[in-house]
Amino acid sequence: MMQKKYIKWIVFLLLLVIVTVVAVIISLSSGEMNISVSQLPGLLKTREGLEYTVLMQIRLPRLILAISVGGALSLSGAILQGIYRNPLVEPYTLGISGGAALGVAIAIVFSLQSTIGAIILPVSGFIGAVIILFMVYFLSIRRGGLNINSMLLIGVMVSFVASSVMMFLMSITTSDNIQSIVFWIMGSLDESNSFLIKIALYSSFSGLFIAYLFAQPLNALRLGEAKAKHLGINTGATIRILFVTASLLTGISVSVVGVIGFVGLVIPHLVRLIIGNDYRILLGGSFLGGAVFLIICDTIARTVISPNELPIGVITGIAGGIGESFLSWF
Amino acid sequence: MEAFFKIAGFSCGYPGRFVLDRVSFEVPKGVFAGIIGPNGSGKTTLFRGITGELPTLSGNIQLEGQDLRQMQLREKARNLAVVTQQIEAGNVTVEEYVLMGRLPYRKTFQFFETENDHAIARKYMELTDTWRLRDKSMNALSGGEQQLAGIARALTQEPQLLLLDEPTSHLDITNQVQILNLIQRLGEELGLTVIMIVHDLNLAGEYCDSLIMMQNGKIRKKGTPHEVLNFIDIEAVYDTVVVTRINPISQKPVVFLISEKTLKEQKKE
Repeated sequence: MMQKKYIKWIVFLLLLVIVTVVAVIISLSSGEMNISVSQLPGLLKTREGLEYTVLMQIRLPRLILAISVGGALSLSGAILQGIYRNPLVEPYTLGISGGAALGVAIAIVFSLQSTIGAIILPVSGFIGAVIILFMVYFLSIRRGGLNINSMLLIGVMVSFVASSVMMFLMSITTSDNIQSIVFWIMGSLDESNSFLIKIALYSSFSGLFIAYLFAQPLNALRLGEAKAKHLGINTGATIRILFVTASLLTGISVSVVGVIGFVGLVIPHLVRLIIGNDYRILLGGSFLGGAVFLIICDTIARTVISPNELPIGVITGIAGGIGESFLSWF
Repeated sequence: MEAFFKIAGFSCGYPGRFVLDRVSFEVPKGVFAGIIGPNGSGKTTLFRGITGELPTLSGNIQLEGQDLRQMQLREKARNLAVVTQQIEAGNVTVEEYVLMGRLPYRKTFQFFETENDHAIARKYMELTDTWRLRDKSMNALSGGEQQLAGIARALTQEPQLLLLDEPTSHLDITNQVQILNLIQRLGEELGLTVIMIVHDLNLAGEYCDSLIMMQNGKIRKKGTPHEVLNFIDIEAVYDTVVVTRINPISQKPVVFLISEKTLKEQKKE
C-alpha cells in the first residue's frame, strides 16, 4: 500500500519541477536581447548565431549559478533550522556571510586584486567564511560536545564583530574601495569565471546528497537532542557534519555571488508551510524552491531597468521580506 | 544464572557535581520496578546514567549479560526504550511520531519505512489506544494522550527494557490509572521489563513488583513494596511523618500523610 503522504510528496515535487522548468525557459528567453521561447529549440539545434552565443555564454552560466546558489542557500537554511530547532536561523545568522564579507573587504582595502588578480575576492571571501566557521565551531564545544545554544549565540556575536571590523576598514579606506566593497556585498550573479560556477554547482549538489544521508536523523532531531539519541541517532556526528556542510555551502555561495539574503530563511519556511516538516521532502523541496526563487529574482533584477541591472539582493530582500511578513500575518 | 538487568557498583555524573554513588540492583525479566525517593535523591541521575546521557564514573550496567554502555547507539535503542516526562514532540502527527520508534532498525540508505514498520507501529498504537489519534498533531493531544503516544513509540522500538520517567506526574487519576494499567499489562503480555521513576508512593506500592528507594545518590532500600514502604524508612528519607497501612482489597501497602496541625493536637492529648 502506497502511503498517502508519499503520494502528496511526489505531486509536490512534480509541481515544483514544472515550475522550475517554466522559470528556466522564461529566464533564458528574457533579457536585453529578446529571444522568444519558440526560438529556443531551433537555436539549440543549429548552434550558431549571436543569439546562441548570448544563450550559452551569458544566460546559461548565470542560470546554473542561480540554481546552485539558490539551492545551496535554501538547503543550508533548512539544515540549520533543523539542527538548531529554530525556524529563525538562516545561513547568515551564524556569521558565515560576515566572515566572507570581511575577507573580501580586507582583500579590497589592501588592494590584493592588483597583485594577485580578481580571483582573490572569492578566495579571500571563502577563507573568511571558513575561519568564522571554525571559530564558531570550536568556541561552542563544551565537555567534548557541541553546545547548540551557545553555538547560536557565538555565531551572532562573531557576526557582529566581523561587521564592526569591516566598518572600521571602510572608515579608513578610500571611497573607491568602499564602493567596491558595497558593490560586492550587494551580491550579483554576474560571474564570468566558469571555474567558480562549476565549484558552486558541484558543491551545492554534493551538499544536497550529504543532507539526504541525514534526512531521518534530522527528523529525529525535531524531538530534541536527547530524545533523538534515545532513538539510536548519533546526534553529535549528525550535528557536526551538517553544520560544516551548511556552512561550507553558504561560504562558497557568498564567496562567488556576494550576500544574497532571505533565500535561506523564507524558502524553507514556505516549503514547511506547504508540505510539512518531514526532512525527507523538506530538503529537496527547499533546494528546488530556492533555485526557482533565485532564477525568478535574477530574471527580474536584470530585466526591470535593462540594460542596467539591479543588485539581486535588493529583489530577494524585498520579495522575501514582504512574502514572509505576508505569510506570518495569516 | 545472570540477572536480566543488572547494575553493579554504578556511579555516574559530572565530578564535582551531584553524582550517583555506587548503586547496585537487579531486575528480573518481566518485572515492573519502581524507583522512588524525594527530589534530589538521584532518581533522575540514575535514569540518565542508564540511558547514557551522563558519563559513567565506575561500575557497569548489563542487559542479558551485555554491557549496555558498550553497545552502539542503535543497538542500544533496539534494546532499551525511553519515555520521558515531557514528550514535546512538536508539530508531527501521532503516526509519524510513533514510526520514529523504527529508526533504530533503519538501514543506512533506507529512506522510507517498510510495510513491516507500519504494521508494528499500528499494532502498538492499537494496544495503547492511540490509533484513533494517528492523524492528529502531537501538539493537539492532551497530556495523557501524549504519554500514551510516547509509550506507543517506545514499544515500536520493540525493546527488552522500558524506562519511564514519571509518566503520570502531570495527569489526573483517570489517566494515571489508565497508563499504569497499560504498563502493568506490558510486563504480563509482552514479557517486557519496566523500570519507572515514580513520585507517588501509593501508585508505586499498588503497581510495582519491586521498589528501589533512593537517598542522597545512594540506594536506601530495595525489595518488594511491603519491604520498602514502611514508615521508618519513609520518615527518614522524606523527613515527613507518615502512617502505613495495607490496602484491604489489593493487600498492597498504602502511605498516609499527617498534617502539622493534626500532629500538634495529637501531642497535646
